[in-house]
Amino acid sequence: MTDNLQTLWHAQAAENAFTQPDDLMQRTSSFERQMRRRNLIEYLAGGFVLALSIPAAVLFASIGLTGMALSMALVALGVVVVLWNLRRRASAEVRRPEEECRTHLLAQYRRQADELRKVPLWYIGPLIPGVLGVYATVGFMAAGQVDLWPLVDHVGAPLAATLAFFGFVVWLNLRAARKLAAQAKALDEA
Amino acid sequence: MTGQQATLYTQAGEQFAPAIARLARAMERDADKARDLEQNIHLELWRSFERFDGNCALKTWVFRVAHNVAADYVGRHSRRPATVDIDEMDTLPAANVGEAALAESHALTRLHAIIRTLPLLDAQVILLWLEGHSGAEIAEVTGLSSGAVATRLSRLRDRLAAQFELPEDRP
Repeated sequence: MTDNLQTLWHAQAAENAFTQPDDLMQRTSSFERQMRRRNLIEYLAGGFVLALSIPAAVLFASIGLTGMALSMALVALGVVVVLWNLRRRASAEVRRPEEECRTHLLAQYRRQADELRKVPLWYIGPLIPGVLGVYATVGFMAAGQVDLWPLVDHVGAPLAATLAFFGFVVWLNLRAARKLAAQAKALDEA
Repeated sequence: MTGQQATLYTQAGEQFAPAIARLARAMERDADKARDLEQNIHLELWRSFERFDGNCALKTWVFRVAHNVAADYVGRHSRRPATVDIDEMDTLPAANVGEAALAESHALTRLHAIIRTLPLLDAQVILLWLEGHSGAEIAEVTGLSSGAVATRLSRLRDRLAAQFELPEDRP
């Protein structure tokens, strides 16, 4: 049976040839294309937030709303830190596909798990001060002017929803990281 | 481009181009995407030959690069079905005989479907065995010990025999 399978297997693609080197010069790998596409989307999203937050910070500062201006500046700073982290992490990737498959897979699982585990630090964390600043400023401005319960209702609920969203993203990433770490452990013991 | 890089690439192409195409087709069901994966492997091989130091055979180098590029590809695409341990292969559904099966034999389609559901390292072991690599060669490409390769191969071949409902043959 196994001999038959090997014969069947070798009957496929018998005439295939390698791509000509001249054609390869023009080519980028799908990995590189995917990274570029992902980075472009991240940069566009970051640029959009910067295009809103920076003018907003200037506007708030010009009308004397210092707290709100500072919060918007923190949002912009957070976005810059995230974009810088994206660039730094992308350029740190070294590809060595000629290593043994087990070593390569193990490194792939560990790197991905590590990246996911650090998402709260490098992706979510930098955005937190600005977001909290906005809510805190609105809360302080409204305090004394409205009753406590309307304040909790209008500021507390959106704040809780925002924090819950961040928490959910962190949980999803940590769960995926645990799964990858388990795969790496199983592979390490193979 | 160096002379050595071009020579090695030509040499590898002459010897292993069909095997690389078979690997890409086994790992990616969609024909166009499989062709893209195949060309990615060509590209990575071309680039890697700049670093080739002769510490291993050309064949080992080529299959390491090819399998690692394919594994990276699978890792980045979530369309791969959930993996099934070798010992649970009995629970696999029969391959879906759709349009793809028109171009391939039923047995080959089933074999591809089984390979795509295996954990990556097991898929690599079985693919290398299908290409006719010896246990020692598989160990060198994958980094598993010879004993671990022998154990996996034995289990995989038993299960494949069961899947194809054919009598067990020699080990």
